[in-house]
Amino acid sequence: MTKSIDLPDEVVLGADATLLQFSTEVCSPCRATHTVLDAVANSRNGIRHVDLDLTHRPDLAGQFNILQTPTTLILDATGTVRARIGGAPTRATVLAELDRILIAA
Amino acid sequence: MTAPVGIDPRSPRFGAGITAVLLLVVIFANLAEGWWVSNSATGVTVSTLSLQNPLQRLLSPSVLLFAALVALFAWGAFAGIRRHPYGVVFRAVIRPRLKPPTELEDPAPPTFAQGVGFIITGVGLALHLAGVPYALVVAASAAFVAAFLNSVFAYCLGCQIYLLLVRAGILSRKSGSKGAAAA
Repeated sequence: MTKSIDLPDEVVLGADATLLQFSTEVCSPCRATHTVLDAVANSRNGIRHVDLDLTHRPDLAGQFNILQTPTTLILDATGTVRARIGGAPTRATVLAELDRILIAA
Repeated sequence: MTAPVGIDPRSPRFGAGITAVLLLVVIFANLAEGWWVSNSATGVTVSTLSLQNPLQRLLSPSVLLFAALVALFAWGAFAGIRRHPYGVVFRAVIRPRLKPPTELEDPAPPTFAQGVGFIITGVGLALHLAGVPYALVVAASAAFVAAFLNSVFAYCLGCQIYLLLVRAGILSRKSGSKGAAAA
C-alpha cells in the first residue's frame, strides 16, 4: 500500500519522517496547521516539517492529487508516503500517525 | 504570510451572518412575489418574467435587495475584505464588546470567498434579468448555504474549491498574490 513519489527539489526529508503540508494563500486553517506541525517537528528529533504553497503551483496539486488544503502527507525516512490527512489535523492525530509509522519502520 | 496586518477572524463571520439572513429574505420575498400568470385571453400559464423587460425584472423589492448583495460581494472582492461595510460595522459596534481576538487572520481567504459569492450571485442576477425563471432563487440559495456554513461553522470555501478551480483551469495560475486576492 506504499507509494513512492517524486518530491520537488526544495523538499529535504527528515531523518525519520517528514510532515509534508500543502497550503494555499486563500486557506486560513493552513496557518493553524502550520503552527501545529511545526511544534510537532520541533518536539521530536528526526522529524521535519515542510510547507508547500500550491497557490501558484497547480502542477504540484495535480502531481500529489491534492483537492483541498490543508492536506498533510507523512513520509517515512525513505520518502515513501505512509499517511495522508485531509483538513486541519490535531496535534494528537499527527503524533498517533507518527508513532504508527515509526514503530512499523 | 502575505499580509502585513491580519484581521479579526470573527469579522468575516459576522458579515457572512448578515449576508445569510438577507439572502433568506431575498429567497422568500422573491418566491412570494409570484411566478406564473394565466393569460386571460388564451388561458395559457406563463412566467411573469416573460412579460417584463429587464428593467421591470429589476424593479421588485427582492431583486433590488439581491442586486445590493451582489454589489456588496463585489465591494469585498475587489476593494478587499478590510474595506467591506460589514467590517466597518464590526470594528465600530461589535469588536469593542468582545474580548481581543486570540489570533489574527490573513485577509486573503475571506476576500477569495467574497469573490466566489460575487460570481454566484452575479450570474444569478444576470440570468434573472435575462428572464430565466428561478435563476435568482437558485443562486441566492447556493450563496446562502455558503454564507451560513461560513458564519456558523467557520467553513473555509477557499480551502475546498480553490485548488479545484485552479486544476480545472478556471482560475489563472499566472496571477500574483495581489491578483489572487482579488480573484
